[in-house]
Amino acid sequence: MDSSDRTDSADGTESADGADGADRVEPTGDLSALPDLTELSLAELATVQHPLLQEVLADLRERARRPSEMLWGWANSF
Amino acid sequence: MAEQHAPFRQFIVKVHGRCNLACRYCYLYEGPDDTWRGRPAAAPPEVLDRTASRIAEHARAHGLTALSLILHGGEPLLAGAETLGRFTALVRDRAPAGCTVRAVVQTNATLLTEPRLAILARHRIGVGISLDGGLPAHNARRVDHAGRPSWPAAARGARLVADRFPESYAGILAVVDVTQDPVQTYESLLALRPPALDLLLPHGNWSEPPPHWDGTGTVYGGWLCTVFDRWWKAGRRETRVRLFEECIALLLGLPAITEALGLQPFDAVVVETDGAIEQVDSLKSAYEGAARTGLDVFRHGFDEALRHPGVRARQAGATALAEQCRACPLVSVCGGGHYVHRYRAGHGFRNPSVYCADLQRFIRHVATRLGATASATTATSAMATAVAAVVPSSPEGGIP
Repeated sequence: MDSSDRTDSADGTESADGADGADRVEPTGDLSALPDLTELSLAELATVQHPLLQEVLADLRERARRPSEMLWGWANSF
Repeated sequence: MAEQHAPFRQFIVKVHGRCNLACRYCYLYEGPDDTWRGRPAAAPPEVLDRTASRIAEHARAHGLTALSLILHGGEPLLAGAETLGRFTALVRDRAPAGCTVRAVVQTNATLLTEPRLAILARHRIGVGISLDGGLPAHNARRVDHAGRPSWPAAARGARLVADRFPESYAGILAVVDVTQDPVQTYESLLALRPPALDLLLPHGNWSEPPPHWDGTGTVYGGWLCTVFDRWWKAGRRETRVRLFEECIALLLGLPAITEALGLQPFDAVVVETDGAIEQVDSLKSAYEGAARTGLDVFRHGFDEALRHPGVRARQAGATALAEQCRACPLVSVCGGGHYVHRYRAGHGFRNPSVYCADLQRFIRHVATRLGATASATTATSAMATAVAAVVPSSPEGGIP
């Protein structure tokens, strides 16, 4: 069957939140709010004594300087 | 208002459509889609030539300063290392001035030899390796067409890259196998000295759930949390782990570059061996023809693919998510999870991820670790400041 004939096309437009709401998939797990870590600035985190985190943050700072070169996205390759 | 599209920046070119392995869980060859059977095994020269021109055209039209060329398959090395080199050179030659072409080949490592690696290095093609762990048992499902284990050849190839071509080594992709010990899996992969790792959740969806999945978040979420703690508590960054680092970025409110998490527009497109322009092939794990666009490099530019509804849905951020996801407090981090894991037969992709509970558990775990580390430092710093304020320094400069 051609994909264009399907009701479950890859754009997700014909989906469970249409007429068939009773069948919709509900999220599971702990649904409470996360602690807001976005309040932590990179400058504040620079004082954190955690070498691994410091290396990660160094990469994130470098990436923030060159957002147009963010290429590492597709899951099935490096 | 005119529709906004993020241009494609990742061009996945299927230089060879067959594989010398027959991994038991392969989403391409063992899944519901068999469109690969009707396509040429290797991409003919005219397809590669036209693809290079289309990539350059897109880069020029959108003023790209960098793009990623991903040589994929099947097993791309079946096309020959020289072919990969020539094609990469063609793309670089035609790309506009000022546009950096970052090239990588994603391989099962079984065909890596020193001469082939030398060719790839000469053409500045990085080498990403697909393995599911660093021990034979971890790779028991990665077998050739006769059922023989691929591990001996793959291990030899991975060690060759690490020993002789470390500058070419891009990293290892591993599909999570929850029947294996998480720490042993991670540590055995570390022994192959990858500069980066990614841990991929096996493709599955609400209609075809992943293996051993139980919906509680314990199986996959728990497995990832265990590896995260091993990585986080190492005292140094033994390797980059994409899933973990992108989760940290998102928790800090920074942009991420993974399709597994986050709401960033997805910017990858595939060219098949016959020149067909498709959406990423992980969609094929959902149903036959799910990745199809009806476009090809001979008649269409990549801009036309940007207008495809499936591509638009993956660039629409939260508006493309299920109502219950949009209301979830974790949505800015999980982003609904990997697109293909949301599928439910007859209901499309506008559902939470089948890994919803696992992602909840994992993201909260990372948030807790990050928050505790930050607050411990803040508390220590505040305490030191308070102590310094009330206790005079000793003549030696320390606290007596």
